Amino acid sequence: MAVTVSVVARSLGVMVISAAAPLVVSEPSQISRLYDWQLPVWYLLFAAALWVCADRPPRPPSASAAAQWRARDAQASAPLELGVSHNYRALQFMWADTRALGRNTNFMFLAVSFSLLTGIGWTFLTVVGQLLEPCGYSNLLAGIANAVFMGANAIGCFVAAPIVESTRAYLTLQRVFSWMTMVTCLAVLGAARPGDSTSVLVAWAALGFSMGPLTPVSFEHAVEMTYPLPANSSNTILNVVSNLVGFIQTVGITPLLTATASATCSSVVTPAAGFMLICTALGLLFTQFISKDYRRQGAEGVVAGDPWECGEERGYAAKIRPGALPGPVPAVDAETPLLKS
Amino acid sequence: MPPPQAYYVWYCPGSILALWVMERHGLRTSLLWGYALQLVMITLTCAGLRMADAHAAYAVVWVAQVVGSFGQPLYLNNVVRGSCSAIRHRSALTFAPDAPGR
Repeated sequence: MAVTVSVVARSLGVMVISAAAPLVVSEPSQISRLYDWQLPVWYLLFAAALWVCADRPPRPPSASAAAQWRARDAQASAPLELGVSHNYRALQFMWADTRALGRNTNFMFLAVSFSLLTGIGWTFLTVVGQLLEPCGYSNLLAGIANAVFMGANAIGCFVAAPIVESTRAYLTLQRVFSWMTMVTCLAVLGAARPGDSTSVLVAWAALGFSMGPLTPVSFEHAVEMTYPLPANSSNTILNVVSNLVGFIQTVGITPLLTATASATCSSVVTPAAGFMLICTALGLLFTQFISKDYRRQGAEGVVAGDPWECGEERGYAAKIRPGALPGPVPAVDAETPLLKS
Repeated sequence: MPPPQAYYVWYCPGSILALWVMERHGLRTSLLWGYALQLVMITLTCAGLRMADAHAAYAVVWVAQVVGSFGQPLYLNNVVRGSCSAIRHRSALTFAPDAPGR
């Protein structure tokens, strides 16, 4: 749920700025107004981070986090090798984590699938005007379709969050939302015809609703399958790859939108529509290659039963960071002790 | 290269730097640096947009975008880490009051 709130907050921020822009700015010389009012907001955030944020909460939030913290503390307190600075060692650990992620085929499939599907979402938002205006729709409708997409995106996230939290069936949900994205992508491309703005908006809302949960589900799924690696490492790779793929998709589709069929809206079968469908279908295909690998849940179960039985997890940690064995896990809090004994 | 594209391109090296800052200095320092760079980015953009010379304005906004693309990964890529390490998540085996084996 926390991941969902964070992801939705990001989408809502984009939506608020998009909605505020035409109200605040009526001519190019007024663009700076958009930034003026953001300054106090960022000062507040900076102050909040300064006074409120800590690196960690006082207690580990879960058994898996406790094991992870212990491993990291052991690693941080290990004596430095001769001639190696703390800065260089941090770089070594970062590189080791990234290599471990690169060797995790399951995670690679997830990264490719996530980047193709998310990238196509951003591409849709970027070219919404070029898709709809040749069919006789105004720029205003394109803006509304954009807002409807973002709103439905947030609703989809909040609808999916309790399901994700209660089932923790990340792979199933990943596949369900990928299929929904494929179907709704077809609907959006099919609805790009003249004279039916209702269908256009419904299709865009459906696409937003389907794509919304993909981000928090993928982030959580990545953390699950790459445990005990730090969550920000997998998150970084997902963000970077989706940024790059989204950029390539946007650049790739731009010349296709000038093709006759797209420019005149004479058919829904266009090179641009084909490009978008192929990208979405590839994203869906890679989702099918992902296999179930819930390492964090496995660690929680094993740690709760007997911390000395988590050999596989400790072996995994040791492979990535030599000398960083989790060892016995401390109790999370006094009322609910972790260890069986 | 127009400013928005600069942002996309510089986000990648920014992410690598963000990973290192997180590894070396932790979540709080990452957030503080991220927000500070974002403040610099907005201040520079405000200044650039008020400049009379179009070339100078473009250059300042471009630099602002680069600064922003180094700042944003410092908080954006740590969203899941912050959530996972701070929020207690449900686990039938570890946290349910009636968990077996206690």
